[in-house]
Amino acid sequence: MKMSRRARRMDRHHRRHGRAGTLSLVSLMDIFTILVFFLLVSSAQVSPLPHRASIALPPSTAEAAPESGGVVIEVDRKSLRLQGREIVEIDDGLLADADALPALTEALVALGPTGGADGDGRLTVMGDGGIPYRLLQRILASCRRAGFPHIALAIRRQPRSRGR
Amino acid sequence: MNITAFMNLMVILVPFLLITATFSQIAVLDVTLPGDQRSPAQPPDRSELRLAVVVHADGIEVLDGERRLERLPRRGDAYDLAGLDRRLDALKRRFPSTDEARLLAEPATPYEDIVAIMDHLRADDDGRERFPVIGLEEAGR
Repeated sequence: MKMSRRARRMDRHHRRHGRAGTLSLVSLMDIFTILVFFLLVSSAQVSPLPHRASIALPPSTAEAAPESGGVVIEVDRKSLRLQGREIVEIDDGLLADADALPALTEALVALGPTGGADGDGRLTVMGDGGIPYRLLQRILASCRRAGFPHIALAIRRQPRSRGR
Repeated sequence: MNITAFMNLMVILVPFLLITATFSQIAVLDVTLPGDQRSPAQPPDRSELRLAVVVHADGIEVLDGERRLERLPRRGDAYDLAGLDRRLDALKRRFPSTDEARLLAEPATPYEDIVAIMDHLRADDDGRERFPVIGLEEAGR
């Protein structure tokens, strides 16, 4: 069809300026690719210690990394768990006595001298920051009585504060 | 170049991994159980420091054996950890070879305070060791 000069000019003009611009996705893809690999790698290394929302670990500047394969005792304000299984319920009566906790000692002895098939005699106590010292003492006494001499206290890593 | 499939994958994968990622901030602190390594008869070597830090509800006491070196009263709702730092630094300078300390605390002391005081006993703010071998005991009234 024959177009007028003006129509041709308009057509050319539209073709030149009205094209949908292409999105430049290269940098976005770079970021996504790096992020995905980073997250894949960081999610591949599983933390050897369980995470429980009811336990607020005390902050500390200790830096030793937790090791896997040990026995884990979790203590929050309500209960004491050994390897995820509830052993003792915590109430005020528990704090009257200073000796080892018989139920915990028995359960630890039942695990065997190395703390189970894949245990290496290591024991980690994950305690809430608010538990009283007496309870910690009773737990440590139970561990000693059950033959676990190497105890590690789990803490939340915190940078050292300098210049105080 | 058709990258729609790739973009779909990324858009799904990135939020999923971000949500499931748990950045572990957990470390561990090794403790010495009382009566574990120490022989029942303490060597009566008076040239050696027998450091004990006693945590009371109203303050911290620093002892050498039975002798009280300093008492740091509690300030507001926190222990005087800066004062403890100064005293421990002075002791470490006088007894550089000593690395053992006993930490005694009243039964009701919160676990976080114990850990905080252990941190100050173990090392100073620059990470230099002070008394890293800590025995935990219970304080008598």
